[in-house]
Amino acid sequence: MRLEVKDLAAFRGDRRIFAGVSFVIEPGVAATLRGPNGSGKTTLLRALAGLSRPAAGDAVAADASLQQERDLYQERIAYAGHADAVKPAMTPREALRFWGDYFDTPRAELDERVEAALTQFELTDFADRPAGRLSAGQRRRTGLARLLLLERPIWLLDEPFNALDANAVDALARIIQSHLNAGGAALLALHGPSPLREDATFNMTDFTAVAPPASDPFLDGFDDVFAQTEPLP
Amino acid sequence: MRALFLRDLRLALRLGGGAGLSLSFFFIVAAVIGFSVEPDPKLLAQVGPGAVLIATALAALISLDRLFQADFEDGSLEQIALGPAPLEAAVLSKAAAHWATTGLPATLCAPLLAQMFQVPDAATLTLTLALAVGAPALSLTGAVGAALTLGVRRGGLLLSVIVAPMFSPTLILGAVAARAAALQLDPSSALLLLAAITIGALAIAPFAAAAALRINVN
Repeated sequence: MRLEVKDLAAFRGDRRIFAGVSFVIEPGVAATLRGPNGSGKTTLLRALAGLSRPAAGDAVAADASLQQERDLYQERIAYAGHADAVKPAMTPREALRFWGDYFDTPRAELDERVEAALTQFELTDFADRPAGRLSAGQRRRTGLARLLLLERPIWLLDEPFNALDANAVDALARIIQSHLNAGGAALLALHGPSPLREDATFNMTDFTAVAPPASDPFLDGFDDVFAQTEPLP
Repeated sequence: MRALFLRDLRLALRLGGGAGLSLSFFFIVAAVIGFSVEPDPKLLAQVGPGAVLIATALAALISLDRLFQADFEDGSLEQIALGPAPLEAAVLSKAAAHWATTGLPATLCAPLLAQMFQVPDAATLTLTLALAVGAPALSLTGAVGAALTLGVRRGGLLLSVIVAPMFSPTLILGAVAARAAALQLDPSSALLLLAAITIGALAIAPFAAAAALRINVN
């Protein structure tokens, strides 16, 4: 499925984080989002996931627009952020069963899909151990395994390879690749080298550089006031 | 929504989940109030309903600050917000689970505590009924406070300050109902008002809390 981002802008308070973000991710493509710390990679992913309302612009997944058909748009997106969304008191199997159920996975398929996700992320050996007693990498894999349950065509992944060992990095790369082969798309915010073929790379600094000046409807109202004041000698 | 309700219920009942802690706190608060007044059976019978109501409110309050905060910290709240169900429904399930693990056990144990205070049988029955009708409002209005203070450092204190006044109509009417029954008057008007508060909270709280969550998760 195709993801098109059109002129997206985001603010935090009155500070512009990015503006004029436009790109297209075609089906079968894993695009990489790069940029220094604080350049807005996470903010962009969260806006694309529909967690925050962008100040301007739009994103379109196939034909569903984030601004107009938010629910339909969100049904096509899976987001995995910095936090794994795994409860310390729950085991990976319980966590996946819960998320599958919460995201309306058909009950008849739930068990099967959970087991498949556990196997693909090599979680079966500790699937019944509380997540609080797992390592950071094991918890991360549990959080990422949620992606396989949801069966959504566009994956937004924020630093997905963090905390993963070499083996798990390879496994995740394989899983992303098979998602792409099935016609899916992915956008990965990354710092390090990508274990995937970098079909497309977007740099946050490019977007912020070409951004139009920030316009604030509240402060704009004061322009007349400022215009009347005498300039300092 | 059933999925979220059951998950919260399971987490609360697990070791360190807070349901047991909340119930123990309920008993301790009521007992401490009992110890701190004069050991006169007549006075205890008068203080009893109020003590049970305060204990219920405090037991609900101590677990409120984790209602959304725990999910916020581990990223679950983001995923809950992204789920197919509206955020309002998620708030409702979480408030329902909170009630089922704090208000409901307190309601069920209220007759026991009331007996400890030698509250007359009629007043005990009315008090229990008042809690059954009124306690859900504590979890619902509490959810609004919890959503508003999400992500605030030391939000638990702020939460108590915001939520305690919202609890007071339920506490006042609960006490009125119990006193009426103790005086062999008809407590039904107070009970109906309690029900009205709960129904009003049911109608408003999920929307208010969801709106606050949207701002804070953003």
